[in-house]
Amino acid sequence: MIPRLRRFARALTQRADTADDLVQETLERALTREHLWQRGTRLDSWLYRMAQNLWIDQCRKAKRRGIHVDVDEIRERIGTDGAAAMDARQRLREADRAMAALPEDQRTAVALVLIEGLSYQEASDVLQVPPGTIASRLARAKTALAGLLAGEPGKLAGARR
Amino acid sequence: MSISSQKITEEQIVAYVDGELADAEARRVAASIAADPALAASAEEYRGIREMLSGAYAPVAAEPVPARFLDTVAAAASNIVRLPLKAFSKTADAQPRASFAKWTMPIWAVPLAATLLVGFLAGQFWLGGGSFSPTPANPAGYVTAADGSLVAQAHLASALNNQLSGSGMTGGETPAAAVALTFRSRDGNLCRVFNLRDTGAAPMAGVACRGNAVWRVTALAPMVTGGVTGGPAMAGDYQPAGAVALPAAVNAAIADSISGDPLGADQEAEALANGWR
Repeated sequence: MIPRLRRFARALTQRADTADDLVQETLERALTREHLWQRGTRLDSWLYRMAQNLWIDQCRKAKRRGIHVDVDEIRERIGTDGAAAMDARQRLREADRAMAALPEDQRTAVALVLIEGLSYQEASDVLQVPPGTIASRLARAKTALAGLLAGEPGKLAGARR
Repeated sequence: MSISSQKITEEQIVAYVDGELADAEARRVAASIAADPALAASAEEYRGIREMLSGAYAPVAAEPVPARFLDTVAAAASNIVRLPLKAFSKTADAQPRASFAKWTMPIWAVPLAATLLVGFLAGQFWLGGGSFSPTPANPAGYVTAADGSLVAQAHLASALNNQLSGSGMTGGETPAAAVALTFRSRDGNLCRVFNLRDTGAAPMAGVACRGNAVWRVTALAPMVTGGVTGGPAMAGDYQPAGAVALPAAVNAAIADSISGDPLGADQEAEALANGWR
């Protein structure tokens, strides 16, 4: 579960350090709020939802406080890995760019379905929206990302962090 | 009305590619895609996005879990990982389910920290399906869920079956799982105390008892190192030779169930030769 949570957090935040901080916060909160987990329901849904809610809160607070700089990108450029590692990092950066370009609701749907592999029903359980809403968010994300990946950043209508 | 003239929405395209459409609708969409290059391109576009994103982030789930996460979970678990498993008596061998009544209750009866720890050790996430990549040294996971209880497998099962106590803890090669001591429980079963070195982060210790040809794990806890949060590691009566203090939960599990003293070397060798009966 923890590796999956890390992957989910990475996709949500697009930064390795921030992602792991989010996982840490999620685990700490989950462990102290265990009594809120409804026994018999899925643990992964509960943890995904908790991470998602924590991230939204953090984003809102960050907006109020103003921009803070993250040094992840700089660190990555300095790396001295071999070709395969650089290739993987390159792909990750491209994916981060795509995710960052999406509005929050589309990004979360994409993270849960395309990256975490949840079904629409499972994703709708996490986000507490109907499965049809999941489909429409994915469809909008598709439109937004198709333009970006074709090298036409201007096509991202309505995209914002 | 021909099929290709029905307007196919973007939602239908993504749902089709994601395998979310019911058969009849899926067939309709498939036919429309076959008949219309623009729809086919749209579906292909979505497939490409899906592959790009899932491929890019997949390695993150394959990375070893940073120690700090396991430490956080372990700190919460250190006082509470006593799995509610009654030692079973030999006469109950014919009816395993009755003996493990507590474990056939849904797994969620176990505290969350224990669940997370166990999921990590099992190399699979066994609450609600799905799986993640086990550590390279432990591809099969140390335990698996069977009949509502935790059963040792792979390196752990092999250590429990074949190692003499203390043999794994000295000398050159350090095995992934080492056995510290053997005792007989009050219910007449043979139980062994084990250490897990290679969990990807915090080492762990536990107790497993033999019955129905498997080793069932009855206690599990992280080896809390010095300067600990969440409870002291007890320098208890049952420390294996030359080592490491066992976690409080494991010590308590032994104390609760041990009959007499731990087995001496000869008795243990005999038990091993007899297949732990």
